[in-house]
Amino acid sequence: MRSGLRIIMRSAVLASLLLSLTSVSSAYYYWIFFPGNATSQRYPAKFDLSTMPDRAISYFISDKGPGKLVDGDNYDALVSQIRLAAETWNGVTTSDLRLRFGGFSTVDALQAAPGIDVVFDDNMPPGILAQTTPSMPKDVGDLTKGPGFVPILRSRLQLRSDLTVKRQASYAEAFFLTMVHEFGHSVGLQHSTVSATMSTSRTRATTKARPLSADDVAGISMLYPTATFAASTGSITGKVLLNGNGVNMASVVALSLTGTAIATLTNPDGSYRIDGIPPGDYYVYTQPLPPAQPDEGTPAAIVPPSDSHGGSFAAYTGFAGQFFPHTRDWTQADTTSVNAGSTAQSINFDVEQRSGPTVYDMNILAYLGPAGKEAYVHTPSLVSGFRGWLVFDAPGTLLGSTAAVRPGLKVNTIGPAARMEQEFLGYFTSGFLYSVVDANAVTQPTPVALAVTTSDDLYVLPAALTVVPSAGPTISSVSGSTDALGNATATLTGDNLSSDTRILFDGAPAVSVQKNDDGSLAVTAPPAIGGHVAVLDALASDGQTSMRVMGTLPLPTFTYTSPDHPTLSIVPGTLTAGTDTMIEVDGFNTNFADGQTAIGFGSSDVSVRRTWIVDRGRALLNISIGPAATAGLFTVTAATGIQAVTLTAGLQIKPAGAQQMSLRVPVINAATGLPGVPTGGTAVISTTGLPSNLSGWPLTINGARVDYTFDGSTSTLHAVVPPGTPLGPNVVRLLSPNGDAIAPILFNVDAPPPVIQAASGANGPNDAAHPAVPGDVITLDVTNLAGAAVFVPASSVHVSVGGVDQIVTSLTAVANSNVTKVQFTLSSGFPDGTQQAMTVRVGTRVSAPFTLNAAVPAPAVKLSTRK
Amino acid sequence: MRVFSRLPISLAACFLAIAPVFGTTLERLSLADMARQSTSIVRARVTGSRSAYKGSAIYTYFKLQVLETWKAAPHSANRMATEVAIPGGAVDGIRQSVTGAPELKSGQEYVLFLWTSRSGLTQVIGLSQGRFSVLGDLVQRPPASELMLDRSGRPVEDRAMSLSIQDLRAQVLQSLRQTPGGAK
Repeated sequence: MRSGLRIIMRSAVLASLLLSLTSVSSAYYYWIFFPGNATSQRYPAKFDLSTMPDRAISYFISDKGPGKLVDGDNYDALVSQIRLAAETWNGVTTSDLRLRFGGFSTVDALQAAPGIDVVFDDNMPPGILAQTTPSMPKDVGDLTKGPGFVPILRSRLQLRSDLTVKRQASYAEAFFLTMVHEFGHSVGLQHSTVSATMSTSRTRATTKARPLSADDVAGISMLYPTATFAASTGSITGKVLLNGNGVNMASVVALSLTGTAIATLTNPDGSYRIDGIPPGDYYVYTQPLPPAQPDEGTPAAIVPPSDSHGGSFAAYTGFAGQFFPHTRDWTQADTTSVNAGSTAQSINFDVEQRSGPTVYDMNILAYLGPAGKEAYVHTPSLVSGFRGWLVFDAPGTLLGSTAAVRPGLKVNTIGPAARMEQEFLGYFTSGFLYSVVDANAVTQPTPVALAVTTSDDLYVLPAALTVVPSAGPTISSVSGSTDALGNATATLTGDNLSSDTRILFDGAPAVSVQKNDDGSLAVTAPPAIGGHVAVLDALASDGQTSMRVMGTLPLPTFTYTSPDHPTLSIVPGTLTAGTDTMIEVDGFNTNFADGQTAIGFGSSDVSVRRTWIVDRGRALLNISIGPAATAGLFTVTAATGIQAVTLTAGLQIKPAGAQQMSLRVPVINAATGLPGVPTGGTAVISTTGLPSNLSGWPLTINGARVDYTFDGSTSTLHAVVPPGTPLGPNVVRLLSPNGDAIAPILFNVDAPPPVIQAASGANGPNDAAHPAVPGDVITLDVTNLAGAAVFVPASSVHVSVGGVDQIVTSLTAVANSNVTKVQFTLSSGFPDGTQQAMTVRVGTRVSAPFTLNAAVPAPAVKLSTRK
Repeated sequence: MRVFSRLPISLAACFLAIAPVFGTTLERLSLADMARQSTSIVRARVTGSRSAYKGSAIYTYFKLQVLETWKAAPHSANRMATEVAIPGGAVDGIRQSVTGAPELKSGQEYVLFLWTSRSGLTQVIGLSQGRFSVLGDLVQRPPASELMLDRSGRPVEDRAMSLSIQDLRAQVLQSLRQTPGGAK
């Protein structure tokens, strides 16, 4: 695939990549709309997930790939990095948004449903490398009567076709973080100034190993919150005023000593609200946005908020920064405590007028790496005990274009993790200053903010550097092989490698990583086509990566050998708009794998609802085709690891019929409401377009006719799954006596559900005389926990008490039995009552309720004394 | 004992030797770069605008009354560009917003460094880099804050640009004289 693109000889130089969106901005921020003149109620732009099957937004990569790639890069590697970047946002568990790879598509093809298009287009003037454009309705209407947001209709993420411009190599960390950044724009995030991935590259402090900061997480989670996000975080509110007047688009930041920085921008009346703050103590500061730069239309390149009449509210930047309350010295600042589910209010600022910020947009570097192979590393990770040079530049630190340091300039670290030795602050060269920094002992990776003060101003840069407890990973050698089936294994040697180290082959994670006795890693590589040369990167949980640590040493690579190029076919190849249906995807020389293979159909009007991987060459899917889907031919894509296989024009969509009939996915278990039904259980099958009388319409499950009832009021079929129906995907088919086509669908037959046999606490069996109280460790004896699976991890077992989810802490199999002991610590918050319904769930298999005797302890009585 | 890490004697040499592992740089174009890479350079007044789709992207096309041409596209059978496209705008009920897109105001005079793609779309170089506002006898462009590297990889400092139109014209023409087929 991607024929016509040459694989060019590798070079060792990494690319740096620039966004066209240059400015730094404060906090997570969205495209904001105000209703009329009311500027205290914000309406952001975002995708309407309620209109999307499974609340997922599909993204597509143009089938016209880039015209030129950097030496040593290739298209499959590029696609894998783009997919990894999108997947990064899926890893935010407090966000309800999921990005799904929809495959390769034709640019500008008409599609009714929302989506994101990644295109390669050189219709960009020199100086611009990437550009993301969300489309929204021009007329937002009465915002107060709508769903509470302005819907993003589609987003276009444009890269250059010529990726040799500024050497945009896909294996470079900068490229990956740029893609994460651009995907953030595509779903509604604007820029951040707190060194997040949504900041511009100059101040961004994230890495490939830790690609999202707390501000990024808060930003996406507040825009697309899960049900529990708000309750688990807190807020800070207040106002920024100048001579009693509100300051618009002032940055207000909550900064903890552990490096968490989350921020927002004020409204035109000066009011602000920072949401999504993890509980803890924070310094709060305000500072203006930096001036608009040559390639920016507005300060920080943030599109200012609009009202429903099309008016906008420009940022005000004419004030000096300060910590709360009213100090430029962080050591004199108060901290604000943030608790989950509550708001710290009235954190107000009365700022002083200035012509604009003195210092801004600071860029930090350290010279790190193996002796003789050092390189300048941006926002470096410094190991505890490090003492050495830090190099930085920022407008305002020097007098004009001289080498004179601005009088009164001080650069200090905030917090105890590091210390700047002020006596070394001085001019270095080429507009850069330097100083000496000491990294102190830490037990966890700790981002460190810098406070830059002048005689009358303050500038804070969060996460300017990170202090880490130990050195990062390196890869010194890679050896391995690929067998005839395409299974690749590799042995990696290096320093600071562990079984927790994530190994990337281009943008695809290794399938498994195990540490050998000699310290090397045995790695199962993700699939790729024969001849592919993958660049490896080792990622540590503290944010360090081998690429950042290894300086200018050559990049480690792995070369895949045979088999021949894989191919795809699908059955059926023609589908109808407005229907749900099953599809079989067959691959030759493919490596389909459960949880690793993404199959897409090149259109946001076609949604993959569920995939069953039968074997490396066969996959079964349920898909939904939107009723307004455009008729035509679409490309089918199956991507596993670095391997992306396509079937051009493999799927044809026909327009919907006048009375289109369809079975609907998912098929639900009547007892649990979940999409998995055991034999003997009742399957509920939704339908559309069927007549009210279905006599003479046979229903089959796995080819066997079954009895059913039809509830016309809900348009659902109810059928008992016959004994003997095999586990896994089974075909459901309704046959019309008239021969009308009704596409079959799949549903999953589950193993029997787990059964709770007993519950006990520290004092013995749980009963009315020995109820459990919050904080108690409860042990359940559960049979049939794993069902048909060989192993279930604790993270996949869910215990619910009175509807409140509990965290399972351990699973212990009892030898020579079918019993697993499931342990959890009882949390509070369950409803009143001494008998709580408790269930255990693994996937869609849910136990029958078991009664847990519980009690809520009486509150402690506070004794008062009289004098 | 804490060990002092050693900085290279020449920071510039290090930038020259390698691209930083995580260098975060803009490809900021110098005046000479913009002069050379532009397909045309005009001093013009904006007289109107319209928005339209080009493929799936919306552009706002600003009509230009060209007052002075400093560089014309060589061997071009087409007339000098009288429209410049800025990404973003609103058409048929759909709005697209491009962060960083420059603003052009009707009635305002600018010096514009323009680049015309093979498809014929004429845009301002670097979103806003090639846009200078004309205020009386002066042209203005704010300074860059980003780390800028020159072609050799050395960091360079950018400054706010505020100079007379004559000086800007002279610098542009000088750059073009050094380029084959440059100045008008």
